[in-house]
Amino acid sequence: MATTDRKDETSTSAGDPSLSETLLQRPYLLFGVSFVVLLIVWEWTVTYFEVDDFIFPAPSGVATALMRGLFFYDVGSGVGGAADFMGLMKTSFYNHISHTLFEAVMGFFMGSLIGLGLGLVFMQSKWVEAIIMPYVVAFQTLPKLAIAPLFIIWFGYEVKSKIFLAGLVAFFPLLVNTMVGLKSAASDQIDLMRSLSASRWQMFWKMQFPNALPFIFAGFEIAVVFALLGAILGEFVGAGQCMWGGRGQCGLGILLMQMSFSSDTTGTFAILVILSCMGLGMHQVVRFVKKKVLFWAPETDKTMGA
Amino acid sequence: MNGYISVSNLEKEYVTASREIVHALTEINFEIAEGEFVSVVGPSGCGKSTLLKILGGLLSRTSGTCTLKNTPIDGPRNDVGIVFQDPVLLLWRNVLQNTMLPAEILGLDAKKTLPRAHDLIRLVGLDGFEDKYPHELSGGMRQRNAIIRALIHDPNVLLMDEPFGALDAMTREQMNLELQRIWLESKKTVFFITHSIPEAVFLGDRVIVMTPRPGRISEIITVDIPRPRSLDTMGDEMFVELTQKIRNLLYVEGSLD
Repeated sequence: MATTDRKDETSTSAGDPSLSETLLQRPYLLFGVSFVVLLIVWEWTVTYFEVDDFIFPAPSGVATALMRGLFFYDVGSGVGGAADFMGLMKTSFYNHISHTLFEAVMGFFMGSLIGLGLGLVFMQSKWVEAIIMPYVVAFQTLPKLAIAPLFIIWFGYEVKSKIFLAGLVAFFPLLVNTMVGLKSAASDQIDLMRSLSASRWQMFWKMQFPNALPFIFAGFEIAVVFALLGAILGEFVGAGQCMWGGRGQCGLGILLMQMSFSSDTTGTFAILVILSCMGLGMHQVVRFVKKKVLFWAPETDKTMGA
Repeated sequence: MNGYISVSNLEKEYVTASREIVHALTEINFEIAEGEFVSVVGPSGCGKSTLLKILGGLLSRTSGTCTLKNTPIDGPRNDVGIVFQDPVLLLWRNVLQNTMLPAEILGLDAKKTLPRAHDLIRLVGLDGFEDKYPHELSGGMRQRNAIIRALIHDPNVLLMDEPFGALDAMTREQMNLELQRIWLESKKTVFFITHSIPEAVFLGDRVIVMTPRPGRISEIITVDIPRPRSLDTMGDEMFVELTQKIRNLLYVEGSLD
């Protein structure tokens, strides 16, 4: 929609725009064209130099593996004598996707809401902030991969440990951004509220909190991507049984491991495609909500990024 | 001490981050009558904003007295409205909601203040823009919104800290005319800070001229030009004479270096 509108505008005002101008004004078209070119070059290079699928699969092979997994419930590429020694390959892609998505989304909500809540609490009292922050920072600097096995011990192989791990990595962006956001009120704004003898509560809800929202949403954008990462990480360390039908273990992370054990590079690429689509999709949902909530802050797109 | 606003022997010192003591204001003495428009002019760093914040109860004073209606100013009070250099509109509120902010915070009856908000919006020509957000308004419109926000709770005193400093010259002249009109209609007591000598003379019944290091009052000049004043007034002999006099005061003090 937006692209067509813009096109109409230029064709009326500029008259006859050159090809490069038209392309630059339509970034999606530009991306589409470059993507197709990339695929063609990739396909041609792999075929021409006879690169083994095991080293670097052709896009056509990846697409085939993707289609088989999505439409024929057969997630192995069937190339390179891939063995199904974990019994995962007869499970539909959708079982794996739904598990990972469930873990990531639950983890995102849990971690980011706790991060947001703690950020709000910390900023109410300098004491709480001073006492707790050092622990938080120390914990944050720990590599999450090192904590993952502990989470399996504490919360089991099932979905719970993955949700908590996803939540853990989604927690910090929200905590930090909420705190920075609440500190971002300009001194003039504080003076304005003080001149009206606003109570602390009014100061917070009418000024400080809305002021922090652009920061908080920047945190959500980071957290949603992190949550997916956390869920995959948890599945690498140990996946649980399928919850909604399907045999054996479920999750894109464990499927990736399986593909790697059986040297199924094509299948691995297919899963990477799925993962990047999931990440993009989740990120887009957050951006959509952000645009609805932060309609009043048109400059956030430029200053925050993702 | 029978002025509406009365300041005597006011001193203000504060300690900077590097632990230096800065003498911001010294020997400040003046009185403002009810309904009077007093401009304050002076170079940066002469303490005029500090003075305004003390009058608004946002800063404490080191010594001296400051009274409004014979009661000491010891904190923010409801009978004072402040307009800042930046409009300081809340970006997530539209024109009407920003105008109503003080009424909400002070817990005023919305049934009574809402008609008043609409009157004020009409007064400054923002009708039709009630549901527009700050990012959809021009600089002049934002500042007008800020001015009526300061008026919504019908304060007796309006403190204005260089409210038109960020506007272009033409918008600024228009806002000067508009402010004069609002003041003539509402008869508030106004304390108006500016960098611009012509603006100070054009709007003020009196002009307080301040010089820096430490901030003190150099002279208080009465502007005996009848109202309403128009842009042509700026060509009058008396107007030119007064602006020249103030300019000389500031140069003699060596503060415009």
